[in-house]
Amino acid sequence: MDLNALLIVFTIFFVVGIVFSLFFSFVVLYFVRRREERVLVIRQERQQFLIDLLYDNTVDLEDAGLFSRFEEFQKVEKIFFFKRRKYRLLRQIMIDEMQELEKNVFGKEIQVLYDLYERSGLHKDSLEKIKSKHYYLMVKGVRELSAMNHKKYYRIIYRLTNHKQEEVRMEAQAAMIKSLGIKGLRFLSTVSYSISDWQQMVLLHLLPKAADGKPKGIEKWLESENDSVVIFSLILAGRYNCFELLDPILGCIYRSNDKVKIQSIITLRDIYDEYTEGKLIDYYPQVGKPVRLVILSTLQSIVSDKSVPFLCQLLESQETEILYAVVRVLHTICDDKQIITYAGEKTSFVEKILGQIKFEENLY
Amino acid sequence: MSWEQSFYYFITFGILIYSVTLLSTYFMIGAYSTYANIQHMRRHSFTDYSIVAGSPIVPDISVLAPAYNESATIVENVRSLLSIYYNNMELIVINDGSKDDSLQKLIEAYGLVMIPYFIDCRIPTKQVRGIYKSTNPAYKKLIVVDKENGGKADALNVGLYIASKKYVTCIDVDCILEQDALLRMVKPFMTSTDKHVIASGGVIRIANSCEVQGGKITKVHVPKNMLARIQTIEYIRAFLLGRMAWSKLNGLLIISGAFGMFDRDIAIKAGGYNINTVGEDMELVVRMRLYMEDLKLPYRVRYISDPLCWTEVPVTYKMLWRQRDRWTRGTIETLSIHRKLFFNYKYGRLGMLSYPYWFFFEMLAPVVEFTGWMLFLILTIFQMVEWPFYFLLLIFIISFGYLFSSFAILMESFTFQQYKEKGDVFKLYMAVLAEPFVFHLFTVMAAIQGFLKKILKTDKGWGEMIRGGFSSSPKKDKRVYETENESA
Repeated sequence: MDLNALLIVFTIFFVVGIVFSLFFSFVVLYFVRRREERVLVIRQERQQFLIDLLYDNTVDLEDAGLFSRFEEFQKVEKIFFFKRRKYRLLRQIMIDEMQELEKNVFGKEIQVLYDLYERSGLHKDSLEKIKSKHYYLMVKGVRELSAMNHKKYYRIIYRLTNHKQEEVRMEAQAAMIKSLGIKGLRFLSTVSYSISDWQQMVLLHLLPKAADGKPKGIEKWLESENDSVVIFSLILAGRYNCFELLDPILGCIYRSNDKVKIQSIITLRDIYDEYTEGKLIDYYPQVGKPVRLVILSTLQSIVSDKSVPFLCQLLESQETEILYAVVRVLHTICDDKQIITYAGEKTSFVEKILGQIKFEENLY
Repeated sequence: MSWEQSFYYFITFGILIYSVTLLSTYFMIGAYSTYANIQHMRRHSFTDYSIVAGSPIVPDISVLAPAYNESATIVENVRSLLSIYYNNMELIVINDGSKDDSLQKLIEAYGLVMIPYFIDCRIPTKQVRGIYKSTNPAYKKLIVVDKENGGKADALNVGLYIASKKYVTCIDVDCILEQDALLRMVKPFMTSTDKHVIASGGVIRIANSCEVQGGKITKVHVPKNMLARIQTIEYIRAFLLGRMAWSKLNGLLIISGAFGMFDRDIAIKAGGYNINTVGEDMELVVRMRLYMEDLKLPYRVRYISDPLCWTEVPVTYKMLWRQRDRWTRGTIETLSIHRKLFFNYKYGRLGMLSYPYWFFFEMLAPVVEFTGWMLFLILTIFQMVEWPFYFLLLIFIISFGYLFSSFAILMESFTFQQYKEKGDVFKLYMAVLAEPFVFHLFTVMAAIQGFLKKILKTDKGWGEMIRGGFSSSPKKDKRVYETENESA
């Protein structure tokens, strides 16, 4: 084939591609708009049905007629492609509406919702999704089951807490806590993948307040080989005021991972005794600048007069970030004149920092 | 075969081979970005960003907004930035020696007072005249820095050192951010467990003709101005396809200066912004990557395709010319500073893929195209042009351009559907048709001027952008004025 023919073939190919893109852009927009409008109507219908159901005391969930009202509740043996798609969409809309409603319903009404989800067999759809090979369907399935309070499936969900696909295990871990509260944290004993900062934030958001009890097993998790489990356990120890864990927390500052060191020192702001300050000061020379800055920041909360000689030594540091942090610590235990006396040749530096600190304190 | 004919075939086939390689690269970008966008949309659908808004362990962010002669819009723009949903945030507005009354307006509007402030700036910058904070607790997130004029990079360097948070977001003060922009932007930093995310970027969308109320985009319209409309296509192509694909490959070299988030510590260790280039945004990303590569630390530069930031684009040829001239110079400067990366296998994908792509297909593309035009002119004069082949080649190239742009619109329709009014897609397609004949020729010429300025060493840094600001009416296109900045 000569070059001209090749160019013609490719040009035709491109033109066909353009026509396809153009066609699909319009089709997508047209169909999406129409579908959105149709789905909205269906959603409103289902929502109204659910609200009526929840607040009508005469409704009997045993009544078979209830489930013949909507197409998605009917039992269908064999259906073909397009009808199957529609059937699945309708069932999905019903599940979505139930999930939405679940967020805003409390008391006995919520139990009606859970019952309806089970009796209508919608939970089977969610279980089917969990068995899918597509991660996004698995996530959806886990989310639906946990939202509809399906505690009896938590064993299946638990197995997914260490799934190789990040999204699946994140959802499963969150579902465990939603279903079982603090007890749901047991996956921390087995999880081998890292728990990202994002996931830690989500889990903390879902966990109940400190007053509702303490998680059991933090001490064991603090010894985990998975550093992210140790970090999360340190955050939990701080949040649930686990003063009895002071020694294991102090032990974590000697771990090799800097992130673990930093989190354990941050936790010591909430959990400490009269020896913690001294231990941090002894530890200070053994670590790098980022950890040193965190030690100084923690000392701001727990420092006493006995640390003044150590802090005065640090005033000789050439690192301005360290100097800044040291002056902030000294400011919590000494008056400004004293600090300036300790500053020596760094007096003008220290005066500037003190000026800023004092101004910030008095600004609001 | 005579030497003239040999020369003719050499040039023609040279351009053809270059074009085919470029086209193949674009095909790969299209395929890869499709995969990346689908993945992103799926993950995005599982995420509840409201958790971040209220979380006590969310990372701290300093937002750096350099401003130069933005008096017309600065008070409203700062108000808009202060209203962004994010708990642990400070907003640092750096008044880069404005000659207008920007600072005075800020002082009056936000009740600012000068405060004593300790600055630990380890790279030389222009002198800071004062730091201001508000006496009103409602504005306690706001810090205003007044400094001598030193250009955008210098202002950002001062901001980097004043910032006290772990991450810094650098934005143009006149941009409109989505309310949840920071919540979304911080996610890549928090989700990565194996690699250190050093920087993250978001999609910049075009705000011309959009309806704006209270510093927020309330309705998106396709720009009425043809130049802005063509730039809409260009931005969709670049952000939704190009950058998304490069991010997936971990080969991204640029994060837009209009909106990007960086790990402050790494940015400072890498040396901060380079004040000697007009492409400081790209140069910083390349330098941060080099820093991590040299230390052999695992890292990523991430990109998210959500439309997070809206900005005005030039609506006159004069302003567009200056912008493209500057972009070209920025690219040349960055690639020249980091030339050791060129096909350097030690830097892996960065040296073997990203840098060569930028060198051949971003920096040299206008030169190759311009050379092609000139040779065509010479060949026409000497009556050596094989017209059928020439037209076929032209149609081949243009049809591919159309295909790529059409695909970008299709991708936009499938994903974010920002333009969903009746006739919007049609308008965008009309802009696609006009692009090669109106816009493209012009931008190639502007890029050639940028090249010449670099070669002749007559480049004068940034042009100054004086903006009319966003009005709430969608009827008029927003006006942007540009004059030379004598001091930059």
